[in-house]
Amino acid sequence: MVKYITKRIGISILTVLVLVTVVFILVRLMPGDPFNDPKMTPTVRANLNAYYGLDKPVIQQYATYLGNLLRGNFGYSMIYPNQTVNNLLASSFPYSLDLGIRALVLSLSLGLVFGIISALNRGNKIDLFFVIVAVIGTSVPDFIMGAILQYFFAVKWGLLPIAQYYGFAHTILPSIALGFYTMASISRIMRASMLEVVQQDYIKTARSKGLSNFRITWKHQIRNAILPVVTVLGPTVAAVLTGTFVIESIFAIPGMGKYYVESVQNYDYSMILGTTVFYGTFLVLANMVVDIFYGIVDPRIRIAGK
Amino acid sequence: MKKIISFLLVVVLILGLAACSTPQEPTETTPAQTEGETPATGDKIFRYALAADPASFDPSLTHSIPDATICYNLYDGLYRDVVGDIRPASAESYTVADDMVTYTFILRDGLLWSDGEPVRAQDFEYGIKRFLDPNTAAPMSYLGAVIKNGDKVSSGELPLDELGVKAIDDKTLEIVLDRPAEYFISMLSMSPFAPQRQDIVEKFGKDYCAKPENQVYNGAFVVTQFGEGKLAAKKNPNYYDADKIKLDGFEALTVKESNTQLSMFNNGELEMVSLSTDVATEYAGESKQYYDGANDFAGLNHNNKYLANKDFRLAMNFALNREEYILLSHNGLYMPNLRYVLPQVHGVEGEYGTEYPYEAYPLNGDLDKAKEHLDKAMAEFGLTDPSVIELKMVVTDTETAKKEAEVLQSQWKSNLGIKVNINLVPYKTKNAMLVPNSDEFDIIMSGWAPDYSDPYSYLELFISTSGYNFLNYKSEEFDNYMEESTKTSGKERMDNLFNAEKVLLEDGALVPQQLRQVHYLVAEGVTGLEGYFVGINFNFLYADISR
Amino acid sequence: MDFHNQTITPDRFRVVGKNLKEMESISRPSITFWKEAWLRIRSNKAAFAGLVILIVYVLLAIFAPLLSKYSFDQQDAYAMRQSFSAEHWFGTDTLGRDLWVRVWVGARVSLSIGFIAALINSVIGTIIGGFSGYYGGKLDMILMRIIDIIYGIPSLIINILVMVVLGTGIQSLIIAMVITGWAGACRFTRGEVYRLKEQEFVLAARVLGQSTFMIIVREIIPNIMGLLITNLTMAIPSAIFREAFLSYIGLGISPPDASWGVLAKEGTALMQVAPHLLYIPAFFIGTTVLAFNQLGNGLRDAFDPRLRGTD
Repeated sequence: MVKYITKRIGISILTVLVLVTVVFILVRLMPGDPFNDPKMTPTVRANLNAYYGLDKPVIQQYATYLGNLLRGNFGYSMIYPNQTVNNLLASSFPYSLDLGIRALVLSLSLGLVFGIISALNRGNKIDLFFVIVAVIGTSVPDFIMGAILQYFFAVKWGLLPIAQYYGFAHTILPSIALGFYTMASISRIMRASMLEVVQQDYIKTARSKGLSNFRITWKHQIRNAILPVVTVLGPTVAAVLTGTFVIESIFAIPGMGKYYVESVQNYDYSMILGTTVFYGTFLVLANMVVDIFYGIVDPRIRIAGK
Repeated sequence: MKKIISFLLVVVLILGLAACSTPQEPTETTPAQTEGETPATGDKIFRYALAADPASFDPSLTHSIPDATICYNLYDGLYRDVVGDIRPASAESYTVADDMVTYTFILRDGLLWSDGEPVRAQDFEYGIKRFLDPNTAAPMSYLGAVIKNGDKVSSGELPLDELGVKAIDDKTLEIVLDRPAEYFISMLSMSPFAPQRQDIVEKFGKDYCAKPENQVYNGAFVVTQFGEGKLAAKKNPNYYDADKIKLDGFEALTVKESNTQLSMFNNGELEMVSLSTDVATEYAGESKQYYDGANDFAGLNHNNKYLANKDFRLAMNFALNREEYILLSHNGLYMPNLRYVLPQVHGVEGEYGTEYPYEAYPLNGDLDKAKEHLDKAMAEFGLTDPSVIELKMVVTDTETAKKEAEVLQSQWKSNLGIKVNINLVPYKTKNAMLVPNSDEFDIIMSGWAPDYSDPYSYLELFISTSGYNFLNYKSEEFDNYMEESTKTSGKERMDNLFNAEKVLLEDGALVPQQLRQVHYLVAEGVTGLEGYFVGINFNFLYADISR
Repeated sequence: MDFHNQTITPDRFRVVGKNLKEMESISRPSITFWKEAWLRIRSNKAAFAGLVILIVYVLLAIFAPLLSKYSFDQQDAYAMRQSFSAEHWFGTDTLGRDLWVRVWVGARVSLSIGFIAALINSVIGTIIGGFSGYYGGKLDMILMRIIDIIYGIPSLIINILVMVVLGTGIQSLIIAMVITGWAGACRFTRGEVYRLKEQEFVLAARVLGQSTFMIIVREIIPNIMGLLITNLTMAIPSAIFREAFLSYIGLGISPPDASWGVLAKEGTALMQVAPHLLYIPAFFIGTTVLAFNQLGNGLRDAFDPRLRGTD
C-alpha cells in the first residue's frame, strides 16, 4: 500500500511539472500581450516588458520561472502590479474553497440521500418528486439558477442577502446555486446504480440467506452502488471547485474564479501560470485521494491495479 | 422496513446539513486590515460598485478611470480639476515665465502627510520623476511627454536629473515644459503628478502600495482596506482642506454583474449605481447623466483598397442613420456624434462646442448623398455590384459592442448593399490591433477618452506620424493645422484645432458614432455628487449624505 | 392475476402429451435485437415522449425559421423587448428581433453542438478509457497523467487558441470542447473497466482464448452500455451548458447568430425588465435536457434486459 502511494505521489509531481511547461508555452502562443492599452506608446511597452522580464529569451524566462516556483514564488501579477500572485491566491482561495466545500457537502449528502430514497421508493410519488427535482437540477445552467435564486430569494422576497460573503446567511444561495446541478446528477447516478445493484445475484443471495432488508440495503446495496459515484467524484470535485467563477461573479464573492478566468482574458502571464499550477496541483492531489479511496473501498482494484 | 430506512436517511441528511452550518465564517475584519488602520467611524460612508478590482492605488501606476477616480481622493496634486474648475490645491499659486514653458509653483504652508511628515516640493519632484523613471514602467508615462525631456527620460535615453522638474526649495517647484501647453495645469490634477515619499517607496520596494499601510497619503482620504472585493478609505485629518470634506469615508466594492449592482442599490447597500443602457430606460425619470468623455467611432483602415477612396468613406458616413443606430444599440441613451471632438471640452473661454458649432453629417443620414458618393466610388473601382465589397470589422466581445456592430452591419447592408463581416475578439486582442499598418482589420470599433480637457487630446491621434494613427490616415492639411496649433495660443490656437477637425470629417476619415453618457442613480440624501468626462468618472470629494 | 389468493387446482391444466419437437420449438416469433429494443422504447411512455419532443424540436429548428416572415437578424427599433403577441409569438429581444425565430435558429446551434460534441467525446473517451482500463500498467498510467494535464490546463487557454487558429463558429467551438471534454468519458469508462475486468465472465473469456480486443468490445463494453448511455445523455446537457458558459465569456458564436446559451445570457441581463427573454430559452434548454434524459433511460432499459422495470 505504501509503495502504491509513493508511486502515485511521484507521478503527481511529474504531472504538475509537465503541466507548468505546457501552459508556459501555450500562454506565449496566445496572440497579443498583456500591455495593450491603446494609449501606450512603444516606450511604455518597452519599459513594461523589461520590468516583467518579457524581453529576455523564452528559455531564460522559463528557467527563472521554474527557479522561483521551486522556492514557492509565483511572481508579481501583471494586472495588479504591486501584488504578488501568492498574495492574491492566498486571499481569494479561502472564499472559493469555502463556497466549493459547502456546495460539495450539500450536493453529496443530498444527492446520495435523494438517490437512495428514490430508488427504494421506486415508482411511487416520492420517487417522482425526487426525479423531478433531479431533472430540474440538471437542466438549468448554473448562471441561470444563480440569477433566478438571487432574484426571488434576495431581491424580490428579501429573505437572504443579495451579494458578498461575510456570514452564514450569505453562503446559502451561492452554495445552493453552485451545488444544485451536482446534487441532481449524483442523485440520478446513485438511483440508477442502486437499481442496477439490486438485480445482482449477490443481493438475491443475501436475501435468500434471510438477511434483513436493512442490512442488505446498508451493507451491500449502498456500498456497491456508491462505486460509480466515487468514480465521478474526481471530476466532480474538479468541476465544482473550478466552476465557481459564474456564481462568484453573480454574488460578488471575492474568490479565485475571477483570477482564473480574467487572467486569461487579460493576458496576465504570472497569474495564469499561478492559477494553473495551483489548480493543477490541487486536482492532481484530489485525484490521487480518490484513487486511494477507491483502493480502500474495492480491494480487488488495489490488488490488481499496482 | 422502507419507512425505517427512509427515516434514517433523513436523519443522516439533517446531520449532514447541521455539519454544514458550523461554518468557517469568513471574518468581517479581513486580513487586509492591520494594526493602525481602523475602519471609518460615523455613518457618512459613500459606497459604490466597481466592475473589477482596482489594480493598484500606486499613483504612478494608475491607468484606468476607476483607479484614477480612487486616487483622486487619496492624493493631492499642485492643482485640482473639480468638474472643469481648475483650482489651486497643494499649490497656492503659480507664475509662468515669458518663454511660456517655465512654470514656478508655490506650495501652501502647513501641508502634511497622513503620517505627520510635511509635504515638500522635493516630494513632488520625486513623484514626477518616479512616474517617468523607466524602471517604474508606468503605463501612462507617455503623459510625461509634455515636460521637457519627458520622452527621453522615460525611454531611458536621458537620466532622471535631466527632466524639467526641480525643487528650488521646500516650498517652491519649477517645471519646464517641452513646448507651450495651456492645458498643462489641468493635467496636474492627475495622480501621476502627485507627490510621493522617497523614504516610503524605498522602504517597501516592490510591495509599495501592496497594503494600505505600505503608503502615506496627502489627500482627503486614507486607505484602510484593500483586497477581498473591497477598497475602503476613511477621512484624512491631516488634509489641509479637511473641513470642506463632509464624508467620513468611502468604499469601492467589486461587483461584476450590473444586475447585482442594481439590486444592491435598491436594497440600500450602495449610494450610487451606474445603469447599463438596457436598464436605463426603465429609470428615465429618476436617473441623472453625464458625459464620460468617451467618443466612440468606427475606425477605417485607409490601407484597405476600398477605404482608401474618399467617396467610399463618405458614403459609409452618409448612409448611417445615427438616430436609429443609437435607438437600437443604446435605447437612445447616448448622444449621437455628428462631429468628432467632444463639445464639452475647454474652448477658449467656455465650451468648445458652443464656440465652434459644427455638424459633419445629418442625424438621420442622407441616403441620396450616400448613393451619390457610393456610385462615384464604385465607378473608380470599376464595380457595379456593391455586394462584392466585403469588409472585416473587428469588435470587442461584449454584449454592447456586439449590438452596436450588428446595427452598423445591418444599416450598411440595407443602405449601401456592402457586406461587413463581424469578428469578435477579447478586449486585449482588439487593442493589440490598434497600431499603424495593421492588416487585421478593415473597420475597427474604437473610442477615445481624453487625458485633459482640450480638443488636442482627441485630434493628436491622427497626425500622420503619430504612433496612435491606426487609421493610417495621411493628410498634409490636417498635419499643418495641428502643427500650427502648437505654435499659437488662445483663440488662434483653437481656430487651428477646429480647422483640423473639419478636415478630418470632410475627408470621412472615420465614422463617428456616439458620445457616451453614463446614466446613474443616486440614493436619497446624497448631495454633491457630480459626473465628469476627463480623468475620473464622477467626483464625490465634496459629497454629503444626510439620512 | 392475483396469485396469492388463488389455489392452483388440477383442472387448470391439460395434458398435451410428449411432443419433443414442440417442446424444443421456439414459440415466440424471432425478432432482431434492435427491433426488440425499439418495441421497448415505444412502450416506455416517458422515453417515447422524450423522443417525440426531440423530433418536434429538430423539425421546428429546421423549418420554423424558414416559414417565418422574420429573419433571425432582422432588427426593429420600434418593437424592442415586447412580450408575447400575435405579431411576435415569443415576443422580441432588446434589438427588436423576433424571439420565436431566434429560438429555433438557436436550437440548430445548441442541439448540434450538444449532440456532436457529446458523441465525439463519448466515443473517443470510451475507446481510450476501455483500453487504458483493461491493460492497466504503464499505458494506463501515462494516459491518466495526460488526462490530469488536460484537466489542469485552464480550458479557456485551449479555447482561445483554437478560436484564433480556426476562427470563431460552431466548428472551432466543437473542436475546442472535444479537446477539453473527452477525458470525462475516458475516466469513467476506465473506472468501470477496472471494476469489470476482474469479474468471472471476463476471466472465462480469457481462458477460452478470446483476444483482448474482442474481450473489450464483446464482453466489457456491452456490460457497461447501460451506464455509458446514461452518461451520454448526461453529456449532452453538459455540452450545451459548456457552450452557454463559453458564450457567457464571449468565446461563443459570432453575431448575429445565437444559441440557446447566448439567448439565456442575454435574458439574465434583462431579467428584471423583460423576463420572457430568460424564461423561454431556459424552458427549451430544460425540456430538451429532460427529453434526452428520458430517452436515455429508455434506451438503457431497452438494451439491457436485466434493467427492465427499474425506471
